[in-house]
Amino acid sequence: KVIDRNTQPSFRFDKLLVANRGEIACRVFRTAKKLGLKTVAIYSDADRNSLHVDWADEAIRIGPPPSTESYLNMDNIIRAAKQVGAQVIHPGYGFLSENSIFAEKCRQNGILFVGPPVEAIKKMGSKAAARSIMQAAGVPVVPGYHGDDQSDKRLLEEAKRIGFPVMIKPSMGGGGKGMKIVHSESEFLSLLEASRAEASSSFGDTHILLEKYLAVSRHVEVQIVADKHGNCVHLYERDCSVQRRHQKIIEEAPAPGISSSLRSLLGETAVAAAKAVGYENAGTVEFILDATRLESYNEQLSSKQDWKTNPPFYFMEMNTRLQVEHPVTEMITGQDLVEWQLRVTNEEYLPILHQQQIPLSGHAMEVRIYAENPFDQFLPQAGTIHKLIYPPTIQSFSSNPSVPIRIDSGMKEGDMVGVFYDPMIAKLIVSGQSREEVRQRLVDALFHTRVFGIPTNIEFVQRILRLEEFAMTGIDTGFLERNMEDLTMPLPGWVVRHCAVCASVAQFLFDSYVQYSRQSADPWCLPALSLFRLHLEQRYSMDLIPDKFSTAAEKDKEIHVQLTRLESSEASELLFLAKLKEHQALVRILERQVILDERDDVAVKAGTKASADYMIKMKLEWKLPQDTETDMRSQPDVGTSFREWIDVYQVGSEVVVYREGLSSLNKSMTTGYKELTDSSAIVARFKRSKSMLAFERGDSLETSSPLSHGAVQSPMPGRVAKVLATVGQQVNKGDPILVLEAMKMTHQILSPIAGCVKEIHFGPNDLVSGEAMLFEIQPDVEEQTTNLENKA
Amino acid sequence: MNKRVSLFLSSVRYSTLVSNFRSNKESNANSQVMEQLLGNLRVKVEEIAKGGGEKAIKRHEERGKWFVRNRIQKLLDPTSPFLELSQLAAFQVYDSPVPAAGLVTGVGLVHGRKVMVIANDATTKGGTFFPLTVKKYLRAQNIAEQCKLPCVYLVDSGGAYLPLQAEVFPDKDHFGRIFYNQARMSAQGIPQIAVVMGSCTAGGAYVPAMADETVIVKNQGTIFLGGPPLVKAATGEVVTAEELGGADLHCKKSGVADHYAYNDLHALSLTRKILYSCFAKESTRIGSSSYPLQTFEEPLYPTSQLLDIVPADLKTQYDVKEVIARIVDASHFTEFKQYYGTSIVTGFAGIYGYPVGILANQGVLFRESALKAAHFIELCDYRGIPLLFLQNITGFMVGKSYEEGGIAKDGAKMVNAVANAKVPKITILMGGSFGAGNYGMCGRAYEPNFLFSWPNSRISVMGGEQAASVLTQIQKEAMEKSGKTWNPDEEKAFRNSLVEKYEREGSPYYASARIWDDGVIAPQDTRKVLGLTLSVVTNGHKMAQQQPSSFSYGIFRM
Repeated sequence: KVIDRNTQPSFRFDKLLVANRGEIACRVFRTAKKLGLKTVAIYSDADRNSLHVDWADEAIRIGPPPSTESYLNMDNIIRAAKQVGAQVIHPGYGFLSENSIFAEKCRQNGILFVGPPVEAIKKMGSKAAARSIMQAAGVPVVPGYHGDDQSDKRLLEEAKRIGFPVMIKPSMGGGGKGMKIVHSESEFLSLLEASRAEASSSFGDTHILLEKYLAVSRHVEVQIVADKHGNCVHLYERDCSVQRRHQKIIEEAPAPGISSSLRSLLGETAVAAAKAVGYENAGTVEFILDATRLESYNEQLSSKQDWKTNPPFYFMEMNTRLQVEHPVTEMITGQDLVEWQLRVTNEEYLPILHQQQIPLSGHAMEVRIYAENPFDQFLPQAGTIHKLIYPPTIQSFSSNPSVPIRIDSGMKEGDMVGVFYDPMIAKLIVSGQSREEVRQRLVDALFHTRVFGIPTNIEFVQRILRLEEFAMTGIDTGFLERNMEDLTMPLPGWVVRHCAVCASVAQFLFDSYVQYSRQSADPWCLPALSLFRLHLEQRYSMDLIPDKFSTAAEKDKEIHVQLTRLESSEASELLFLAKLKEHQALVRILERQVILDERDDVAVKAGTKASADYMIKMKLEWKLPQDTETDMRSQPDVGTSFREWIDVYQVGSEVVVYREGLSSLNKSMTTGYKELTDSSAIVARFKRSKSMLAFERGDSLETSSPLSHGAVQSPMPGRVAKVLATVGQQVNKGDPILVLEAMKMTHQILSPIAGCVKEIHFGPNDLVSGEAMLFEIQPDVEEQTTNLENKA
Repeated sequence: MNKRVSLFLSSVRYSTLVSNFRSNKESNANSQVMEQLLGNLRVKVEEIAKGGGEKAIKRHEERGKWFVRNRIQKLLDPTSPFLELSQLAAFQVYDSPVPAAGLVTGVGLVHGRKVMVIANDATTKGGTFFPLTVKKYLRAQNIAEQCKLPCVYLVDSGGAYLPLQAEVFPDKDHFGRIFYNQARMSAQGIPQIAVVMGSCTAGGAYVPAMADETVIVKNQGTIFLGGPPLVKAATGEVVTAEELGGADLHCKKSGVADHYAYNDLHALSLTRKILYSCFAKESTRIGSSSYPLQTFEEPLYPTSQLLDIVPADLKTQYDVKEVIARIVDASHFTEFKQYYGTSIVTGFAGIYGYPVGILANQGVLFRESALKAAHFIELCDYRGIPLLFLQNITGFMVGKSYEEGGIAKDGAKMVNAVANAKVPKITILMGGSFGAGNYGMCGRAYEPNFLFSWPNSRISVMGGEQAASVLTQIQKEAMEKSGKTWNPDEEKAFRNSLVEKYEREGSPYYASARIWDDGVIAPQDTRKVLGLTLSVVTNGHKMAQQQPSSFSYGIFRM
């Protein structure tokens, strides 16, 4: 049966509520609007001003920030849908998307749920149940034990039967919680206990299962969609092997190194799996691919043996929802999966009924940009996005492969990435003809994706993409852990120094711009005369603190860059001798452009603002002197020179240097600077020195921390769970003052000294950012001296 | 830099100067000599810039205080120029060195506006006031008053240098004049801001007390009329300096200071905030130029060639237009009376867009030259165009026929015109400055707003050789009268000692040390210094609005 797409039936519903937030809510709205549906957003108090609220035609508050009271509050959501007359709910991913109870409640309330039938959710929700259904349907499953006998003895026996290494998994689990890999019999029981304990605390259930652990495996998943008329097709597979602690970072489609016959078999198997549970709507069947067997399997194929027996993959689980990474499938097939979902919900036939008619062209990759600090144990970060800049050519939510970059995001400048929800800022999806083309485009796109105010994994992901191993398609689930040392290696000292000089040159250009824009007609303000001194060196200096990316030698230590302006034949030319410790180089500014927000620009010109956020684009020419004895006034003979483009951003206290590779003017590079010819892009982050910030504000460093001993800062972003002390209370050293909840853990914050609680800046449930001043303790000793003074 | 075209001169393109300069042996020799002079100068200035020396600075910094030059750097806008004044003050004047007379003065930008900074250097003799310190102080205040520049006093001084009190305290232009100036400037609405970063004792206590607003640094700044030793001697009371006049006392109790700073950085930050409020009222009155500026182009020829062009020997004649071509915008120069009185070159040009009338010596002054100069000065005065004197003058022509022609009378006209011209005047001593030529070409006595010397310049009532000849002649006649004869060796020694004395006293170091000028500058910096000073002087003058009716004479045809 062929459906004429021009005569699609009209929807039997006209108003869609998305029971979700952030990027997925925005993404669903996009399609809903395209299809002429009215859209409804729900929001918690924390999301009052979020992008998804802006995007929707209507928005309803459903509760306070904690998700249990808002996005997971089924009754409130159903009530909201009824209140606005939404006949259909799209659950997005996460939250209630795979909750059969919610799907059931929708049904009971006469609301269409965009997803599979309740029964299918239930069946796939239990790993053990799903496994036996799959086995029955002839879908290969990983050798394992899923029995009810949970005695240590039985489990150990089963583990031995399966053969080590074995994986212990909580039955109810997900997201890698409680998962343990056991390499030998001797460590089995202790890891079993650990797994049970974590399962108990995370899921309230200690039931565990055992599975064969594949040493070299890949995570390959197949997108399927089934309609209510018994049709089911797959839209090819995705590879999500690049994972960090079971969290996907990079996803791509199609999976590299998969032959078309294996692709067909994966697809067929996925369709069979879906049909086995009576699946409807979009879903993903996850497989684990035994990478060690892939090669021999391909040989087996060429020897024309029966390729369907003993395939190198096993069923893992089925996700009964739209996946985060669905855009890569959309990019290679040119389909809109949300539209497919809505049409299926509308009881239509699948937009493409025949498997062989489903297009497959090119390649696509997605990266998830998270607020986390890869250089600090990947700690999730909470804070405000001060600035968010995307690569130049973008199209939001396009499934058109001819537009190579797509950004799916629910965040905008000024938004808080809080502790309540997922710290994902955006998804960057890139398509192209080949995997290599996509990889290079993505590296470039990431270089031009700039987030300020909060650390992200952007540079980390860039490093992954630039690894040779990744480029050569050698990815598997152990790939990241294997390369973690390389990936989190701090920037070498010379790069930090080089970038620090760039940052100083940029700051000079900004200051000079400010000076010039105030009174451009006055010689005093001309860049040509800036720093002018009679017979003395014309110096400009800046103090910077390298961020966590840096080597131990530089990390968190203030570095001092000094620029000395040199005489040049061109009066207006800017030529500097840059010095940083014992290192020096000549820098000539060839081109520069200072960009400020319009409002800041006006304020700076009017003189009402001395400092502002800026972006400076500059082309620099470097000359590295052959010897260290350089005459300050004349241009020394040089050994090496090269030119490069640099972008420097200052956003708040942050200074970030983006260095696109460089082109060497002189091929014969001096040793020691050889690395500079490296064409790869580099991003270096700095903080402006505290004294500089205090100076701008007119603060005294002393007043900002009046009792540096007794003032305690938050060690990380989080939420204040409890306050244990009261103002005025006498405390001893080590007494707990408050409890901070962060990263789903609680941290007691202790008094560092004995004294009197002078002030507590936060109350229960307050959100605190990292380094926020939590409380102050008036030291005992000082109190005594104060008393003495008063008496005198 | 955006290229800007001079509107002032664009209609007179034919007046572009064409340089005939070609590099040759002679020019190489010239630049060698000048480079050496400049090299010596830089070494000396760098030494002076170290104040009391590295050890003293280290001691100073160990007490949490910043060196005076770092304080100024931080006070000013980060990329601001700093036009330092009287850099060589007190150079080799006193028995022991007092670098820069223990005081750093100069003009710089704060929030894009020009301010005068007057800062004591406590590493030099405790920042005490020597006679030349006072002179330098008053000169800076004088410029500030003329040009309406807000004054920032960074105070860190032990007061008058007591051994020389007679030369510091009593006279009109001595210590008391500082506070007189402060009071009068404040009355004119020129902000007076004091930052007490160290001692401020006795008379010095009036600097913060007289200021409009005062910042004081905790544990560093003290203000009192009598210090702890004096108090103990007078009343027996034992107090620490901080108790007697520290930040706490003055900010909480006495009210002598207004702003409490925790350290130098904080104090300077507060000072910038105070200045911000000074600029809030009216953008045109204070700190910004009142002159309608023109756009400009850089000279066609590099300023660095000035080193090759200026002869090593003052006696060598050269074309001063080669200098003008390397100083003025686009090397445009509209010459006035080109073929009359050719030993002085007069004409109009632009410097960084500022119109200027230039008078440059091209040899000895004759009566025609003097008349031409007087005529030109009048023109500029009536048109409100600032005057620039490029001085290289041996004097007026002498001899019977010239006296007969009334050269004194015509020279007087030039002197008269210079003395009475109300437009800003800037003088550059590029070579010789001898005799009445110095007067006619706006020497120090004629109060040019700024006067700078080149390192090759010489200033004296007449040349050393001439003076020696004259004095030897007189001495010889006197001896002959009393019947004595003069041994030729003695005569030679007498003569040489005079030449040597004139050579020493005519040196720009000798002159600058005594603040006969505002500083010694490099020829290649001249254009920049002129740009900066023109901007400063036009700050105080509103020539454009000047009414011709305020003149008491019409233009005389000379």
